[in-house]
Amino acid sequence: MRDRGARLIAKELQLELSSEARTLYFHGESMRPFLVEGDAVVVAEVEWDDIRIGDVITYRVQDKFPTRRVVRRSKHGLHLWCENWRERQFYVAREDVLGRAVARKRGDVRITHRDAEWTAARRAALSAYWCRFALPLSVDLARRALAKALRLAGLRRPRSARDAR
Amino acid sequence: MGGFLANTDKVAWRVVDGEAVIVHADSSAYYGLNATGTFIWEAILTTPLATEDIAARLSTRYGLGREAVRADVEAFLASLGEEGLLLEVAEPGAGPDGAAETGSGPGPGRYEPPTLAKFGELEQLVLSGE
Repeated sequence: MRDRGARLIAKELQLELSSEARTLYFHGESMRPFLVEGDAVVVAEVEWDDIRIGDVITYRVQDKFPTRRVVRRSKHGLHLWCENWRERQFYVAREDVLGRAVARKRGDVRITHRDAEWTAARRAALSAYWCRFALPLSVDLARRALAKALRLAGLRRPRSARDAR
Repeated sequence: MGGFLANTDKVAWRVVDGEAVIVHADSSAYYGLNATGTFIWEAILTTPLATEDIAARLSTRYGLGREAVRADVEAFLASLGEEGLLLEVAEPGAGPDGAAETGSGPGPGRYEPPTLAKFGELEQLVLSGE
């Protein structure tokens, strides 16, 4: 096997070796405030069926290992989002998911995915996501459904004040 | 006589196309095994085997005499030991009579002496948050 191919595999194997004693280094600003530059993170293997909305997962993109929050599941992949990069959404295929963040150490403070601080961050991030994407989508869907129902009933949709001018 | 067991507490490994890639947890060094080396590695993952047992398995697999492969096995085990990838235990497991065929490769192919290639050391893994 060539060095380059082996190196990529070896980097993924480093994730398997991740533990309290062998943490991984988080780089970047996209997951702030939950993860900030220099945070030590433990990533554990996770079964596909155990992945939940709000989990922070690590996946492979060529030789990089993005780490983002799950906001939606689909049959063959996950939809991801970063709380500090709100305009963009990401998608990862099931086979590229490598693990789930289960602990974070920042300075001397360590929390795990079972701690209240972790849960609160998950809740806050999902609320922000739903306000940003899901709620406007729901309102739009409701508006379309109403318009369709009115059309089928032979009624005209009430004109807004702006249209009436 | 003692046996040899893969130091699985200290390493992670994966077999791709019949060849293993191994990472040592403490040194972050990573290695590649050829097909013969991978066959031996998989044989000693769970059961400690003596040098003779491993040579017997190899000779059965490749249709060679035990003595012909014994020196290769010894050299290979020595290289694994030098890199901290091997444990020496007092009691070996199943001998040649109980030797089961192992290995995840497609077939034995032509015999090549088992080799361990050290590719280098990995820097700390970075989780990308852009």
